[in-house]
Formats: sequence, C-alpha cells, structure tokens
Amino acid sequence: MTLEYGRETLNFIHQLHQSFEPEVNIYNQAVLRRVAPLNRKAQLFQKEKDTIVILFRLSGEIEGQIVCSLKVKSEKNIDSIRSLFTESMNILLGKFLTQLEDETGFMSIISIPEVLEDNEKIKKLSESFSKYNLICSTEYELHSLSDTYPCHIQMIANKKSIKEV
Amino acid sequence: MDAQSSYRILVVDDSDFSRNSITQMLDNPRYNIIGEAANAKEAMNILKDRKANIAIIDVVMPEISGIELTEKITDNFKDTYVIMISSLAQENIIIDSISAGASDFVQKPFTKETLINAIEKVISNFTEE
Repeated sequence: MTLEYGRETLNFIHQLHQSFEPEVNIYNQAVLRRVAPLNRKAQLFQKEKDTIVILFRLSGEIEGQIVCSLKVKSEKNIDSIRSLFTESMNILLGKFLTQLEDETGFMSIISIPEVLEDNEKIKKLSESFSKYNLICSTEYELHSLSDTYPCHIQMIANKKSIKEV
Repeated sequence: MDAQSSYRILVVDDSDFSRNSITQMLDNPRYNIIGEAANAKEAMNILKDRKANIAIIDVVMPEISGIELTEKITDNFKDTYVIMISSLAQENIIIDSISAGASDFVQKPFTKETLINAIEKVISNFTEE
C-alpha cells in the first residue's frame, strides 16, 4: 500500500528520514544498521510466532505510534533478544526525535515500550491507518554479537501543527 | 573520600539490557553497585535501606518518570547525587532534569568512558563540598 502525499508532507518525510541515524552502536554489544530508506509504505504486518513486535506511543507535535518488529531465527533466547531489541529501538527512536527537534523544531517524545503479543491490536492499528497523515516505514538490521536480525519500523502518526521545515 | 574510595551507585532503568550494560561498564572496585531498580518505587525502597552516593536514572520509565524520581530523591536523600540518562536529549528534557536536581545528563547510548567521566565529575563536585 503506497500513499499519496502533498509536497509539504514529502519534504517532511525527507526530514524524518534524515533524522534517523544510519548506524547506532548499542553499548558495544550490538549495532543497528539502516538497510532501506524511510519510505511511504504502509505495511500491514502480522504478529507471528517468530516475530517480536514493540509499540512506542508518540506524543507532542507528532502524535501516534511507532511499531517495531524483529524476526527471530528460533525461539531460543527470545527473552534476551527482546530485551536487546527493545532497548535498541528505544535508543534509535530517542536519537531520531532529538535530531528531529534540532532539525525541524518539532518536539515529540516516546513512551515506554509496549510488547504486542496478539494480532488483534496490530489488526486494529493497521485498520486505523486512514486516521493518520504520516505513514512511513524503514528497515534496519540488528547485528548482535552472535547473529543478525531484520527489523521493520513503521510510523503511524499525525503532524499536529504546521511549521516551516 | 580519596582516590581509593569506593562509591555507592544505584542504577534505575526499566530496561534490563540497559541496567546490565551499565553495571558491566562499572565493574571496577571504585564503583560499588548497591542495587538495580526497574522503576521509581523499587529505587525508593532500595534507598530507604541502603545509602547511595550516586543514582543513575533513566528519564522514561513506567508510572513515575525519572524526572519525578529525581525530585523525590533530591527532597529525601540529600547525599545522593543524580545522573540522568536517556536516548531523548531534547533541550527541555535536559532542562527539566537539571531543574529536578540532577547533577548531569548523559544521552544514550554512551560509552564506558563517557559514563565514568560523568560519575567522576559528580564525585569531584561533592568531594569538594
């Protein structure tokens, strides 16, 4: 699903892309590397047995949710991978919002992470896409000391006020 | 306290990965980790039992934020100095942290050197007092 946007929103999505760091070192225990630019895709995802899904609520001048998912290779060590993934996303998104405020003046913060365990909530989120004017996603890889995991990051949000960006 | 002293440190973060990373960075006889807390309530309970020289506190935590916890600590435990940590480092968050009584603010992710520098800066300030 690709969405139609006006020029102002496209410019803002470009600013969002630039605010995401291409690489983040997570305490020398893992590295996050961007593998795809932020694009205007609204991917309808599903929680599967081998997928960890985490939601961060966005509040402030950009309000909505950021949903992050990671595909594990086996269910072995899933708790430690969830812990690493959650903090890695917390760090990536915190740096993203800090950079975004520096670049555009838009101030938003993230909530504590919420692990999504059932598909019902994810389905509801996917169905609510039409309520939001900023829907975009990007892809990262999380390189831990032992393995590499693909991560999908989906932003579903509204830009509350219009500012010059 | 002199250079040989051991300083008592409390680590407060709802992320167990983050708490583990910090305690690994401070694996040194100079730093005595007196406890780890996943939220403000646990942190206050630890501080009622054990004195800490420094509390390292995450800003975004469930129920009571790190900034509110810092206010409680500066009100109730005057000898405990706070270093705030967060991946969010917008100007107003840093100002709120310092206004709440934090001695320093360090953005996540930090290196061992950055964290130790922040701790040593706080130690040098309170040993001069």
